[in-house]
Amino acid sequence: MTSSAPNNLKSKLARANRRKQFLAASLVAPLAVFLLVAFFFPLGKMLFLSVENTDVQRHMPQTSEAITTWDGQGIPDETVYAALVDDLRIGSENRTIALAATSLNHEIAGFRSLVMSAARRSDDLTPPFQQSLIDHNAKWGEHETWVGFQRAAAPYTLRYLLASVDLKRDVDGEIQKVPESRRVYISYLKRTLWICFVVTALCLALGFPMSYLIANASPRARSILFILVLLPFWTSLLVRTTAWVILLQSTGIVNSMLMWVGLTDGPIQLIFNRFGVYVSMVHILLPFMILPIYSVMRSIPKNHLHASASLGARPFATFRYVYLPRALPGVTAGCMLVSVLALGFYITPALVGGAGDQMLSFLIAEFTIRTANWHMAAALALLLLLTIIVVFSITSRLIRPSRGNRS
Amino acid sequence: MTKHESHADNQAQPIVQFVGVEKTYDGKVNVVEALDLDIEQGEFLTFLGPSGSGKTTTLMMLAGFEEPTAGEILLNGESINRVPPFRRNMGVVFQNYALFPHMTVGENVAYSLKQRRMPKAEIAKKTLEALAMVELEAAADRHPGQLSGGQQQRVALARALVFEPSIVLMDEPLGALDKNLREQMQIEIKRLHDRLPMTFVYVTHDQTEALTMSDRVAIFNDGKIQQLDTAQNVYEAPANDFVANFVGENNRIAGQILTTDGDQCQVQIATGQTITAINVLQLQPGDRTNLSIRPERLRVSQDESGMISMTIKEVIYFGDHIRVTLVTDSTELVAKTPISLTKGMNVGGQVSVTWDVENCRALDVHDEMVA
Ligand SMILES: Nc1ncnc2c1ncn2[C@@H]1O[C@H](COP(=O)(O)OP(=O)(O)OP(=O)(O)O)[C@@H](O)[C@H]1O
Ligand SMILES: [Mg+2]
Repeated sequence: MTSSAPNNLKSKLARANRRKQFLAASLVAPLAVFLLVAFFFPLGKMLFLSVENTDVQRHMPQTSEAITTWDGQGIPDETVYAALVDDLRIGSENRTIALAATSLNHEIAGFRSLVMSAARRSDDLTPPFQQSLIDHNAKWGEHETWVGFQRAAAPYTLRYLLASVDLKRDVDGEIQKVPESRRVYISYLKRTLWICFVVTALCLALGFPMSYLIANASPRARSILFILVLLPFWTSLLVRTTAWVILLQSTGIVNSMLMWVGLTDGPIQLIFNRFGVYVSMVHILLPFMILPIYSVMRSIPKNHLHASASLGARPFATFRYVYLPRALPGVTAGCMLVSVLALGFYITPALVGGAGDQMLSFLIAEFTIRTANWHMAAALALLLLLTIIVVFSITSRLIRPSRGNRS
Repeated sequence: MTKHESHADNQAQPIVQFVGVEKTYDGKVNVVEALDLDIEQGEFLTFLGPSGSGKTTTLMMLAGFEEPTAGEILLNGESINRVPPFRRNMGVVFQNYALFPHMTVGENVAYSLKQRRMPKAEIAKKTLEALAMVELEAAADRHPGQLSGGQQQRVALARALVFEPSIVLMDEPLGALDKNLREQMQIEIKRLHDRLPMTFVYVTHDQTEALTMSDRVAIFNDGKIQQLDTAQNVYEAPANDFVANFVGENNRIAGQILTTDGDQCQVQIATGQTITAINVLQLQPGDRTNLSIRPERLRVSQDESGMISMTIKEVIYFGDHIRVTLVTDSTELVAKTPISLTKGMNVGGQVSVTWDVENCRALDVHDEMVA
């Protein structure tokens, strides 16, 4: 009795818990399915594109198949060359060989013309094809050519991911930096992070006092201030951004005012540069800083401030040791919201920034819309996603109130 | 502010004086009206009164969190109207403790000492002493959220006492505790007051608490102090009808003054009888009055020897006494009677009541019902 009772209880508890869990799970099931179908699946599929590599396989199927058996020593044997000639013949008939050639060119520069010229002459080639191809172009007899081909024909590749951080593989498969002149993505990443940091800092500097003002205003003043803060939410992002264009352009109100007051003689460049990006991004993101800070400030009891004063703390000390620690969770939430949103900004920098003020998302848009390089777009999207996750975890750790610190 | 001299020299001067202090929040109603109040050096003074009577407001003006709209508050003879709270050197204990949740218990207690820039070693020593005083040394490294209500209250006490303020203000500090814990804390607070050379000002609306703990009690109603006296006098000799009904149980008999004679008067009550009472308020013949007699001052006898004949409506057994409700056509009285005298008292039985003249007080007529 005594020994079986606890087990019995445990299983009863487990059964009761299972029922509860099942109920809870069935309540969120529709949401879970929706998220799976509408969010995780497309997202996963998109990100998967960054490692997917099917062009060569699809358009040169026989060679891709044959090369898998090559041991990587010297050059492949006749079967691979025969498969290649077959693929070239079929490919030039269907006009699909160019697609495979482009993809191969990503792996080894110059591959495109090599393949294309071989395709044009494919009908003239005679067995043994190995000799025939090498006669046509000595490159077909080089070890590096086939190493590159084997890599390009593999179903997955790290090529795009490496490229997104300005790296590439050399012929021996070693990872190395791309030449200085072709490094672009890292500088975009750095710029994105810097803009995100500056915008978050500005939002905090402006939003904290504003939140304090709202939290301590009379009910009437509070509702007015609230409307002022929320007003921008009711207009579209596009409208708000273009409004800044109108305000800040060289014939805009701000410049006219400055000239009228006599602060400058001619118009200052306020837009299509970094200044314009900062101004409009801060304007758009400020409510995301103010709202969480405000709601935390509202919850700080007056009594605690009174208690601090009664214990002899001057107003600044009360602010520093009692008010600020209590407000920090709001600051954390605000900074996280603003920085994460800022990292993904696209329209605003595109409209009010210059060429040197574009962020990572601009590149993603470029690759999807203009050059239709989905692989590269996916790789950069993954880079942006990882950056956001890193920034998110850093901000949440950095300014988390350290409980029990005794300084 | 001058450092106050030794205890003996200061006996004459109250530590705090309210002179004609008024306070209004909305500019229409004074929640504190023309308040004159002297708080004596070292006493335990309690503000007792119904909700909304202005107790907290008065206390907060003393602490400096609210500004009087008229009048002056003096500390050791000097006006502190312009002195900000952090310079008043008063310990405050709030109803919900107001402990800082992001600091440990030790840091909470040490806070005031740190603000005074004491040497680290001294801070540590005093903090430990203060926590020992409330028997919570072991909890120094815990956070307030991890303590029970009673323990948090004790931390709040230690925090308010550790910097040795001259006055400690407490606003319903035990309001959130259950009955047993409250009684235990009452005793602890009282002991602390006996041990420490500090003046305690205490706000409560629990009258037992007020009567058992205080040297003096100030009864508040409608923003005015109705009576300021020792606990015994507030109960035994209420100054007016409100106090008589607010503090303790009261028998109230409506009547009219017939004649006055020195400090006594003759009062006609609804039964037609004439009763002699103490004329506390110097009422004149013709004035309406409410007589006040405490239930334990009524003597119930089972014959016709008493002043008023009455019928027993209800008998309730309390263990140490019996509570008897008596009625006539026009009056209802409650008597608390020792058990030994109640043999044979049954509902419906005829009895008569009597009392000593000095226990029957003729007071004013306070119309509002009092909870
Ligand atoms: N900050 C405030 N603003 C406006 N009116 C207030 C404010 N604080 C208190 N009052 C009003 O002042 C009156 C007295 O309030 P006070 O808090 O002093 O009462 P109290 O005696 O402490 O009551 P309780 O026993 O309920 O705590 C009440 O009518 C209350 O509504
Ligand atoms: Mg109160």
